[in-house]
Amino acid sequence: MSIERSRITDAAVAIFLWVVSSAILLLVVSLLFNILWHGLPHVSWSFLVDTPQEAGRSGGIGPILVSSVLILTVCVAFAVPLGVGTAAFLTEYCKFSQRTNRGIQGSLDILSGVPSIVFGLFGNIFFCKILGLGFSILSGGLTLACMVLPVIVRTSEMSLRGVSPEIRQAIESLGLSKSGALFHILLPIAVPGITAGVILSVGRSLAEAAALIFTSGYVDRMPSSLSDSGRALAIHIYDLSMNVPGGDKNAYASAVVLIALLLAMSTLTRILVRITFQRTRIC
Amino acid sequence: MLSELVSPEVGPKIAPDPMRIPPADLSIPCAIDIKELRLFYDGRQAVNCSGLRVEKGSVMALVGPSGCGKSSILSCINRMSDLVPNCRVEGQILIDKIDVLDKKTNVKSLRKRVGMVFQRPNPFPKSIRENLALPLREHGIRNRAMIEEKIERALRDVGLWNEVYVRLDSPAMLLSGGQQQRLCIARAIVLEPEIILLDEPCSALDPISASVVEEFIVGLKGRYTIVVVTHNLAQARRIADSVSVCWVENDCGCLVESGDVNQIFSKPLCKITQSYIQGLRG
Repeated sequence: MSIERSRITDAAVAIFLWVVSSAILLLVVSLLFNILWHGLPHVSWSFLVDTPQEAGRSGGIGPILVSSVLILTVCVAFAVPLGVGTAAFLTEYCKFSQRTNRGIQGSLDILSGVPSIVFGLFGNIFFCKILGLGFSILSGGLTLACMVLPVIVRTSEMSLRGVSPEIRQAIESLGLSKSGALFHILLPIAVPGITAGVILSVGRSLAEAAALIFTSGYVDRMPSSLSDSGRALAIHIYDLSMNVPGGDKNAYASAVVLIALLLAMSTLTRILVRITFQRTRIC
Repeated sequence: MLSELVSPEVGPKIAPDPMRIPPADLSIPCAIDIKELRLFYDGRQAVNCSGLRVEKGSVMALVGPSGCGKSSILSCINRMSDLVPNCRVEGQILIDKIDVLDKKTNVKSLRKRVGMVFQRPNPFPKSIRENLALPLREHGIRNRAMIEEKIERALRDVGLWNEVYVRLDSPAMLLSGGQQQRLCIARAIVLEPEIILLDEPCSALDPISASVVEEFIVGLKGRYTIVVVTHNLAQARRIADSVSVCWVENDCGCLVESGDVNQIFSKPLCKITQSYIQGLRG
């Protein structure tokens, strides 16, 4: 009797999980299909390199791609060293009590949940006005760096803490220096976890619009330097679909490019990590 | 030449007397001299070791049931006990007249002189070569040729050279369990320590790998002073020159008897040792 009952429960749970996961998959697939269906026919080489015309209705997204990549580069260049450094400091150097540690982790979690528009307003006041950087790629990138910093710190911290106690024992018993152990053993072990955090952050940054409207601006010309204003891809999509009548077709095409960029970047990073660490560890 | 022959280090070996009943023979050169060691976890005394001397170049086995403080005593010798939160150690551990437990002792150079190998093999997830080169570089050896030479010598000492010399740059994680453990021993001896601490080095290995590791521990006898913690009495009998028996009394681990391996196994002086050796208790 009870065996029969547990079999029914098992089947019910299995069906429920199937339905839930299929629903999610269907949602994602239909979204992707919709974007590809409307956007793919308009994507061409000239679309990728040309400057936008008639407020983006025609022409391409060349300058916008350049601005996006520059903003992303600034963001990664600041956020990764700062984030990984903070994580290394928190896990390896400072000996806070468990309570303080939990406090720091909690506040980082809250910070990573703060809406991006808030970061945008903060960046506008701090980077554009107080530091006098104005509406620029630099301000935008730095604001994004602030936004993704908590994610990078948390993921790096977790992967450093995840290093097995046996390895830590070996490090201690050999009398290795803290910095030597960090750079030669702990960080290499933690790299896959850190990479996951960075990919997540890059994805979020590339798709970010709200934090950039008030910091990097939305001029769609080719930026001449990092202190020049530039329009990010996500802002371009937002502008075309909300403010420019007849911009839908190019908005879809830009969305296709954005998704392709995200996919390419995460795949490339994973391959790079695998090649670099294949020789020394079993992935 | 003559002075070497009569120097106490290479002179005839005299078995150290048991600790408890007649006092230790102080004329024997000893590498480690533990006096009145007391160890506390969260303020509660966990280990009480009144005295323990390990002869230079010998293998001493620390045996006893689980939780009797063998590993705790071992971890005090190279101050690994520092890593345990809320752990306090009192007493004296002398290595070459230097008190290991003194706050001013340089832990980094202490651990270079006192190597340690753990229960489970723990090679770094790097190449075989890097596993040995990293500690050498960290301790200031930069000369490439010298590093290569030391790596080869350490790997030969643990009998791993012939098995791995063609693939020194392949991941250490791809070695078998026994090979990994021998690599860990090589990593400890590549720094040329005087003392090696082995914390149940064979307990996570299959019998064949264990016997290979055991064989090489015996091979290191004479060149290093070795302290090995083991549950395996037969193993202690095979590899050790002297044996110390730990026991739990009133919830506190303590040393009940130490002495020459033959004496402990054939004529133990203490009742507890007697029944433990015979497998009646423990």
